[in-house]
Amino acid sequence: MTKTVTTRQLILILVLSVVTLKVLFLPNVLASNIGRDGYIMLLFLLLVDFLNLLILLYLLNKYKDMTFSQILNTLFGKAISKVILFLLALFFLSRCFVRFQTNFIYLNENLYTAFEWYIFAFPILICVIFCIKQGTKVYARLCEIFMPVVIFGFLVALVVGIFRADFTNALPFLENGLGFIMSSHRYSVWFGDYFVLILFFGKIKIERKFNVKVVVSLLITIVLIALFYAVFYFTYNYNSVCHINAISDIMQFLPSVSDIGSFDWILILIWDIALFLDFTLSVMLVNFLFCEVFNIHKHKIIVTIVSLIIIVAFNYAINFNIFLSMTIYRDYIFAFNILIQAGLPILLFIFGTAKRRKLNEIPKTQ
Amino acid sequence: MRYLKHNKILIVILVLFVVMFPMTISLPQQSRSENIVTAIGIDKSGEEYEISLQYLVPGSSDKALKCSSIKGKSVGEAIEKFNLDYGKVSGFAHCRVIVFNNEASDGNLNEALDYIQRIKTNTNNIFIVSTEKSAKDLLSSVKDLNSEFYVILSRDSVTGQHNHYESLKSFGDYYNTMLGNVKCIAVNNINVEQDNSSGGGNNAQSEATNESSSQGSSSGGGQNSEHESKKIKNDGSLTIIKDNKRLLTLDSPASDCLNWFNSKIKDMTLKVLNYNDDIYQNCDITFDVYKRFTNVSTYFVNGKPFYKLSLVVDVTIIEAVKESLEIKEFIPANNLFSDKLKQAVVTEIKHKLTLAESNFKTNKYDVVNCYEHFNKFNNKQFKHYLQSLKDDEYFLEDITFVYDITVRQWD
Repeated sequence: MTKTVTTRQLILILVLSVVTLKVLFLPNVLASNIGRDGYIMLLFLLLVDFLNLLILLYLLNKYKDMTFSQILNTLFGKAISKVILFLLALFFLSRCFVRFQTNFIYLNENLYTAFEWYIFAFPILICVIFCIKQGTKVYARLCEIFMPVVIFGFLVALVVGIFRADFTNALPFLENGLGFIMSSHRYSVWFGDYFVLILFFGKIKIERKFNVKVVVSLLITIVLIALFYAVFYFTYNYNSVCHINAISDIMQFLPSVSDIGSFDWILILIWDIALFLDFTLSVMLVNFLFCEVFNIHKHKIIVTIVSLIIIVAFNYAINFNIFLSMTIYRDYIFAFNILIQAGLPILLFIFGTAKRRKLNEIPKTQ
Repeated sequence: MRYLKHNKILIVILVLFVVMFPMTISLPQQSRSENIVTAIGIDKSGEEYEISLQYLVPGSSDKALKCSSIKGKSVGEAIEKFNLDYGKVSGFAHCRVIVFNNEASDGNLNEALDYIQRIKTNTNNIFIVSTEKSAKDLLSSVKDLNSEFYVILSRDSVTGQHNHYESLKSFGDYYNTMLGNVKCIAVNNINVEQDNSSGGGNNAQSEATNESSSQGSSSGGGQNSEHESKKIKNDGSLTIIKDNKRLLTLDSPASDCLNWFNSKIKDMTLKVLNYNDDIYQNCDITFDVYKRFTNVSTYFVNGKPFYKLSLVVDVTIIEAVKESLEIKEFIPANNLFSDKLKQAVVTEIKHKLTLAESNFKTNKYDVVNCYEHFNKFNNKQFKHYLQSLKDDEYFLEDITFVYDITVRQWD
């Protein structure tokens, strides 16, 4: 297998998938349900999600030259691996629905409210198809080019927010205890980002200190995301519930008399790039997983087009209403999400370690 | 074609152009369908609201700002009516000020503001300002200055008083306060008065007349043709809103006392009357407060709450009024503050703080955020203290205010 993705590219792709949506709508959802201590919930969920990354890294290090479907075949056999791949394909398809909606809502609210969905949809879909056709190497290169800009935008918003936030709003600390942690399953739709790693299994050029670089970069990202929520809430306090689009609002609607909002459009454009890249990544994964399930090696583009048609049809059916789709996820699909996000990594870890023991045992018996 | 065949990216760009160009070239300008509202006035008379909208008319005309009014049973109904009459949808993304009159705030102010709060493009950075009689008059006067209202509010001085820009409260502040524990906010009170000065001089406000727009006004509001000369009066008075209703209006001296609790107000003056020492005899001395460092700490002693306000004030003399002229007053070395003069300043500041304290204790309004300070930094003790009261509303009464004031001379 050709190693096409470098460590740096992989880190940037992981950061992209973790950050993009968590600084858009999630802060508003957490502020509405938890409020002041929402950053603790976010930190908790990010760290739980981080365990998935550690398990996937463990598999990646163990089976350096194998693709994800080959690993599943080795661990579970062909039939079960197909089922797992199919479930993962559905998982990523559901993530595509949200990401497509987010693209539309973001452009619609921030750029031009008279936008019809097809005005933005066609160009984006054409770009996505083109990007997927070019393969993971081109995608990784795109991320390498654009991610520094996206990270810059995120840091600018964070720094601007830090200067405006009133950190005493964190007090009284944990006034109502930690009971809110019990409702963490409601937010499962926003997590499970590290599974994007499965697309790059067998394609990564593993360099020196690969694990340390990935783990440290992602831990820093996690801390910054939690800090971003804290800054968002401590800036707007009770008004946070009115600010749906956190990354844009933190620049545009600062409780300030300055004209810093004038720079908001730069951030909007930057975040559009991040949303596009994130959506493309999810579609790539759907494409990859369905092709693996149905053994499609030629005409993969047809799978992409069919997936995109399903995504557009779903969004058209619910009228691009992100709150409706969030309610559907929260009330009906959360169990499936938890199965994938918690059950699958545990299975992978157990079977992965068990397999190693067998491998270790084989030479002894021989 | 062969070139295109070998450069797939060009095909994508071409497809994008072919798809996007016909769809976007025909989109109308947003200003053709949206009205750019820069200020909203809310007047209530009886059960009816009269809404005045100050809006921007794109073009090269000198009078780019217009003001129109319309009546309705609610704010939403009035604005919807206005949209129908004017033929454009009112856009509030550029709205910077909401003015409401006393009658609107005497009722439920939330009722008046709810429509605006729910507008998606509302920035929460809109300043809220109260006026005693008519928001419509105020907006009309501002419109004639051909300057957006918030620019006027941000000017260093409107009628020769202090800069109140820092003390202006925004829509976001209002909802944060009303949704929080305190539910009490002080908003600036700005009025319109007849300008009796002849000739106008160099006062920009005196040029303001009550001419009004003839566009878009369907109720006749703002179509007064008489040329009365009016000026905007910003004397620093404040309206106290508690639980979405106007509690009282503080006049300029009372507001000035309260401002000593507000760390955001930078530009202040202080007057010590009939001061006597070796250098100044029977003088009314005015000081400019150059810098003010404020620190608030809260603590409990034997279950009793204490609110300590520490102030470090840098002042300089800007005027000493007296009957006779003494040369020693102008000798630079003599300009050093004596301890007695510093003490006089401290006494005066304490006097103002005590007046403000007795006022907000008597009228039970917590605009200095006592509740939040105790709740954040002494949460458990404060809860215990609140439980010992028969009603949370009386929590201010037993708080002891301690003032630690240091005065320094600023050169």
